[in-house]
Amino acid sequence: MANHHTMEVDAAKRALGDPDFQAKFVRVIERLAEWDEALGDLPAAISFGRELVQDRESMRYLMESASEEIPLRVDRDTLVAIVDLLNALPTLVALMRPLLQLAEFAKAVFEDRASVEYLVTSLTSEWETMQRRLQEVRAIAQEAGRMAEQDRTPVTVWSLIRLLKEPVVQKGLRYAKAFLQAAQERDDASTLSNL
Amino acid sequence: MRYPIVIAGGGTAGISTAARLLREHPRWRGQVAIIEPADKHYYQPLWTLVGAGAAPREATVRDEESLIPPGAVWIRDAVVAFHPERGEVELASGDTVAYDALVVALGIQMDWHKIKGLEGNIGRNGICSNYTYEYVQTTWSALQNFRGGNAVFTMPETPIKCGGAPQKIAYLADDYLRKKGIRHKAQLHFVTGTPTIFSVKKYADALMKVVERKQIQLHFKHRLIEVRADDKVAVFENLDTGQTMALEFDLLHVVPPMSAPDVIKRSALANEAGWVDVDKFTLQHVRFPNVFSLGDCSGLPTSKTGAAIRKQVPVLVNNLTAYLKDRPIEAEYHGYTSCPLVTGYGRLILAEFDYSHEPEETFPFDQGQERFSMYVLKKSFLPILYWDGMLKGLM
Repeated sequence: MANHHTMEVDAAKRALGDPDFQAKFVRVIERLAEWDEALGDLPAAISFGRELVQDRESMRYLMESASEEIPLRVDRDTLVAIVDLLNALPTLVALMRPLLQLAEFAKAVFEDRASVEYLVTSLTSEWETMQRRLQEVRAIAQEAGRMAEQDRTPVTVWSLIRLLKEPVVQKGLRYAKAFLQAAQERDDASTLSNL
Repeated sequence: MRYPIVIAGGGTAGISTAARLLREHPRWRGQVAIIEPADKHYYQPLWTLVGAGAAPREATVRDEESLIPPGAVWIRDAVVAFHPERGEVELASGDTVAYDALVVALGIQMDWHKIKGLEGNIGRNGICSNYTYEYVQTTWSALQNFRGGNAVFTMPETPIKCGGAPQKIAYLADDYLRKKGIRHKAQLHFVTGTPTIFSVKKYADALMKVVERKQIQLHFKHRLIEVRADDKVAVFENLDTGQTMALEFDLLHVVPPMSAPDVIKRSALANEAGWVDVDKFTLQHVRFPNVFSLGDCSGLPTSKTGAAIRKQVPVLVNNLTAYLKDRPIEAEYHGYTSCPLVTGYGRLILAEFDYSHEPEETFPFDQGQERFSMYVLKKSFLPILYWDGMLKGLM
């Protein structure tokens, strides 16, 4: 025991004799006032917290008033749900990430006055063109409607075949065919991967 | 000075990279430095429409300061030398900045001086260019003052930024002159150093129809070598035969030859052509693993556009992060790029393709057709996506 004490004293003496240690020690003393100021009211806050925890009456009042505001019913099901939610978080976050980015983008646009002004001005300047194009589409639709109304000739198999040869119809049908083919290929691929 | 991540260049690529890095790693705030001397930042893709009087020039400029992402440190200085062997860049002020990882995003250099007689004459005698903020108004003035004669539009054989821009202004000029009722008094010439109108066959076929419809005379494999401003004569060199061809002009839209910034050319980072020598998939330097590059200054064999940068940024950020965290570098860029080819007021072909020069289209319709919807997308929406999405690291 005495030996241990002597060893500690020797170690302290060695440390105090080290100029580097002495310099550090002086720096610590010099900065004590600064640290005390930085700590501010922290010791008082810690004391208050300790008192509060020890004061059971106050704690019970605090918990009861909190449970009135936040009606917590934590049971086994709640805990299972929390764990499920935690497990699902990676999937949920992956799903939500694009939406969050979109929301952030929308926020950035709305906060950017120059962008909003530009968008409005730019779209307004194209409005005339858009209106003209819409009018053209409307005129075509009206003309088609009028022609269909007046046309009393029966739709024969031959006229359907002629219609099928129209480039616009051909293009639409080719697209539909390709779409079905692509969908089938994907379906087959997923079936194969499930084997 | 020392920063863990240093980004040389605060243009589209530099700002987008910094924004995405800091969005994905908020803890790196204060550790990402952007070196950029300019105090203004430009949205250049809109200059085609500004030059044709279809968009205001002011919409294309913002203060650089307003775009520096929160958490990034802006070093307002220019890089004058790279020292990758000791992990440092040297600045014009004489300071050096050390780094753990470097992103080179210095853009492209316009070599106006390589065309004899051009410097000092843009804005005079019908000579104009859409390629800088200062000059872009000269195009609109030249178009408005044009009364007939030869309108000549040039394109160099070198890689350039926005490879479609030189022909877009020719199409818009045709449209403008038709609206003004003087198209019959004009001969339009598109003189290009390239052997075709576009590098992707699908869009080249569509554009050749546009050229035919608009009766624009094409001259392939010709490079502009001299402008005699007072005589209003442009001199071209045939790249196959070396013979010269002189064309009188009443309007001359010039696109200068371009190259990698000189500071890269003379550094150990450059490949033989002067661009930053990076792996075309990972964007990591082939000799200095802590150096990455993207955008116009990189040696990536794709069309140099903002759209390409949009797809390069996530790959670079992924791989840079992997490098810093000592993980395998796995993300790959496959050369996606896009060129919204304006073919007139309210008409646009949206070209999108990759390294293989195969179309890689976004929309479920044929983008090889001229469409009004795509024109509105370019004119009204893409600037917003740029300022508020791309530069914020969101897309």
